[in-house]
Amino acid sequence: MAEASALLFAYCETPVHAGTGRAVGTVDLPIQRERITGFPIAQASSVKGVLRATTQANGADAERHRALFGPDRPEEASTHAGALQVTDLQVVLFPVRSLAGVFAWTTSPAVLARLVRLAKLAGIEGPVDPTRFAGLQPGQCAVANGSALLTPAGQQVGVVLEEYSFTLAGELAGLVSALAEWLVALALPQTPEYAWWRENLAKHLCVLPDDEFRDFVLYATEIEAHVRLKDETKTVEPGALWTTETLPAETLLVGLLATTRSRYDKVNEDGRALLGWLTGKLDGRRVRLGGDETTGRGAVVLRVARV
Amino acid sequence: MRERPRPDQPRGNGRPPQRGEARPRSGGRSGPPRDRDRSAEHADGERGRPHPLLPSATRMLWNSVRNQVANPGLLFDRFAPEAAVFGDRTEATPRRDFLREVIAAAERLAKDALAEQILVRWEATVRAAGAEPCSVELESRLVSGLGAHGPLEIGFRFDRLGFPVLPGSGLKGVARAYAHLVERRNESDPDFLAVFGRVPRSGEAHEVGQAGALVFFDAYPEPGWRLELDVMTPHYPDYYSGKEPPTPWQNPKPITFLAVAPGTRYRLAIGLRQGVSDPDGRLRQLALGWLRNGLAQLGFGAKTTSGYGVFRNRE
Repeated sequence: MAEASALLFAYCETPVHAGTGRAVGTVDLPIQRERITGFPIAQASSVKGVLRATTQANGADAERHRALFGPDRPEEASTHAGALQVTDLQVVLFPVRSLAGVFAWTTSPAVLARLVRLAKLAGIEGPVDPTRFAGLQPGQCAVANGSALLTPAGQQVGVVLEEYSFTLAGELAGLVSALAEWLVALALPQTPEYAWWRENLAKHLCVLPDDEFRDFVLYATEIEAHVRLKDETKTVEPGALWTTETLPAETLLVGLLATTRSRYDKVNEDGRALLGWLTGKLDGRRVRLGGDETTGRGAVVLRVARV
Repeated sequence: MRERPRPDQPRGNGRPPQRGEARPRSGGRSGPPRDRDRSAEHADGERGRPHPLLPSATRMLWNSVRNQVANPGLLFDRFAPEAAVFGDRTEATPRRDFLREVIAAAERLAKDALAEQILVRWEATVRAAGAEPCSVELESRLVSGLGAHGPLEIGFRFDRLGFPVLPGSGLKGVARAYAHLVERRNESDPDFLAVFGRVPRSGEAHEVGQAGALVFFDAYPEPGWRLELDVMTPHYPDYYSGKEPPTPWQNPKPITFLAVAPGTRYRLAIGLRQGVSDPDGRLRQLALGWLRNGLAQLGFGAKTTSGYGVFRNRE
């Protein structure tokens, strides 16, 4: 039973390729997705590996690290389990190109419902009551007052994402502002270089109906084409043309960290203390998640939100 | 000059226009083109509606804000009018006009606060990875992503927000090509192996593979970047599509496309892969030298043999 838990946010600063390695679809190297919803995820095992590598430590901290993640050496693997539980990271905000305002951070009632559920597990009050978005009809979206995404046309106002247009659902603007405020406080990095992001999240935030949101996360991810050239001839090597799918930069992911009491006999600490130590190591940290790291993919900033 | 041949399919058949189906052939005989049937064309030279594939609500909103759009990538990929797909003619230049619109959108983006802020954050990201960023200036035009799928057949590489970034994979390739071709290094050289890593060849054990120690980040343009209109003109289009010898009666075919303007400065950064140490920065300096020399001597992107994609090798 978990003694303490916290939300782990990961903000993508470059495209992130948390891949599956193979596929039978049109993209050669697709990203990991949830089977049921088709929403992008980063698998818990990848995330835990990144956290483990990031927090390697010496001295007393090395023992704490072992208590959290389990023994390093395979031959000791059966001595005790780690105290840390990590979930898959799921998508909270997904950037989509917008006719006005360059791009929109999109989300949906189902995504928010799951965020609220995760937050509750961490003892944090969720941003908004997702059932209040229930009135969102297909073809509608909700944005905050003064949104940068608004496209006026005569009497009407709409939002155009990629080539699809949405009309505004009335009376939800306040809710979107509240959501933006919550995310700015808990999820976005607090460093100075994120000032623009914190100020502009509300203006670019857009809540879409679940179906429309799913279409964007399925069909509006970034697809990068790659070739390998022969140095001598500068022509493509036979068979060396492939496509890679990535989560675009500006995507926000969330997961849950939970800790139990240490099971390692050299560390006698409860889950709260262990999580506190881990939070100190992770909050605000830049790490690399997923594949293609050496070509600049997978840079994310972590934030840990806990009560 | 006679009007150049172009795809002549009826509208609304759901198929994209095909390259190389330029004009109906008469009896399979090659020879000078005959006058085409112009009955399918409208009097104003525009064929069909400007955006037949856009939902009508989107079309209305688009028309009201088209002079304010600041995402050139979105414009380029999704809002090409149908006439632009079929190219320019003597009496109308829809393709050129559309590309000018994209260039104007790029100008708006370059002036947007986001353009500056994204660079500030990029700086923080790469420094966290142990990189010491530097700038390089483009000496000629640069074209990248020509082969990307799109309505205009000739693509252009925009990132999601519409910036003409140089992808890290391409930069890594240029640095590697320079080290290999000019400095004659290969995987038996420990520095080369450390920087670029190694993929096991077929028949080799999986264990000989290793990841490179360095990270080649996408390069971002500095404020002041611009796009330009460029043109290539194949004089024997039917010869290149394998249908005819290079006969003198073929119409030269001007094809307009986008290029990054000379003088644009890019920020480059090479950092460390997580868990790798390079205490004195030697590897990073070495790789950055390869990259800068490669950009100056080999060029980046497409059409480097025609002088595109060349950078000055100094700050």
